Amino acid sequence: MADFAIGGSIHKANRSLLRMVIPTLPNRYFATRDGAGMITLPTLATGQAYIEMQGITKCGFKVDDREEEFRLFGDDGWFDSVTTASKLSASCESFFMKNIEVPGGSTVPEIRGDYSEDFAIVERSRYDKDYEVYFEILKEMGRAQGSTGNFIYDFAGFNGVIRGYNDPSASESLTKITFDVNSRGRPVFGRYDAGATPLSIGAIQSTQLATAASSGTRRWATSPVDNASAVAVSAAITVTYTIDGTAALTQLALPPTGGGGFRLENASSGIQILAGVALASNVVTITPAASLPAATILRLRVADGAIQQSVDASNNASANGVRKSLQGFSTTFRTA
Amino acid sequence: MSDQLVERGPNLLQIREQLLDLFGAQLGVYILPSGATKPAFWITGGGKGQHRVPPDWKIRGIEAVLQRRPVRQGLGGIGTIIAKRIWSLTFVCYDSTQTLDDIDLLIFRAFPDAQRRPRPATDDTYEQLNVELPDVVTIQPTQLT
Repeated sequence: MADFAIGGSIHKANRSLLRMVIPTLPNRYFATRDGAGMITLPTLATGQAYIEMQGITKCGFKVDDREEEFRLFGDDGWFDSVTTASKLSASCESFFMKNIEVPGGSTVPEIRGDYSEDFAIVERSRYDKDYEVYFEILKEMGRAQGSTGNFIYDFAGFNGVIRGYNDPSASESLTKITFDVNSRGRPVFGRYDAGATPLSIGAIQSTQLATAASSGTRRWATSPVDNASAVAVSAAITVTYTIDGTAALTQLALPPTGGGGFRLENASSGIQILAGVALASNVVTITPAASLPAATILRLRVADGAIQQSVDASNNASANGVRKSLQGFSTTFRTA
Repeated sequence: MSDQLVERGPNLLQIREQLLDLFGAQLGVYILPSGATKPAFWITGGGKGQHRVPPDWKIRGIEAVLQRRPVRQGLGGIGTIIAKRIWSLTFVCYDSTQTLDDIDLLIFRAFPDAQRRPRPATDDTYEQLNVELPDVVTIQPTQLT
């Protein structure tokens, strides 16, 4: 069915795609524009993927061109000018967004205690002041030949930093936040030809891979086992990830922030027990800095995203895929 | 249901569970012809004849009726549709020794932004409470084809 809806000649904001990538500094991404104004997207580095910005209610941007005026003698007094600098400034309004995941084997989304994938990037700007993000804004314009042909989008792409995070949090209303984006480097504008398949807009970004102790294709097993008693205070604590209880789950990695997602704690007081965390193949080893306290119930909390797996578009392990978080869990045991 | 038709919020069954957790203890029961009882919580509009409980069921105490389909109001949105869903819920107290006061307060505490319209009992009608529960979700826009 072609897009012949009444009013279809005017673009509707909900048919825009706002997406981001976190480049690895000092690298930046730049699309290229050919002589006809058509865009070629940058090639993303291995392990990186676009994250859609959803929940956005306003996103205006403007190009600030600084001009220096001058006059040439003999030009009848007319002014001339030259652009000395230019930048793109965007101003966005969004909701404070919570994470929604669709568990494996289910079509029912569930809300988990975390930021949504896109909002996590925005909120990080609250403390990380040199955190560059590559932004793309694509507006659906329809098919090249009306009801046939490739899908064409208006394109704006730029690297920038998020500034001026503002969370007014008025009582009895939805929690809205605002932020600005200031470009770094040259923005690129033009038309993007997505080919015969339209870009997906607004789909649920389920970036978390479901895990379970004894079912599914991403399983975990702990040592000591859950509810174990009389565990030696010097016992090694491990988490082993498999696809079926035996064969190793591959392409695992600790997140860039390290092993902090594996937290060993006193189950009654919640006080953390300092421990090192190391991943070897599919086994995470948690090594306490000292002997475990005797006759104590301890809990190992594995947070969502404490470990990640590189997967392809079908969520199969792939060295050239993108990293997704594995679902967390917790287990308890008692020392001797 | 396809991913595109999934709203990023609780579905009907999850709404029912949440509401039963909230005021299930206050509800009365349906008495089935077999004598079995069920919590007096009805969801309307499931199909022909589903707009009310079967005529041979009896009701004791307080009944809650939830409209199956919420009213949706668009709140704008860029790259997605942000919608306010309003779930309509009606309580009827068929027992003159009870009131809807506790349920009204329970609803207010759980959903302070809900619209609540109490209707006192009259000579001809039972005490009622109409509640509109707001719920904001995001929905995937229709894709180009």
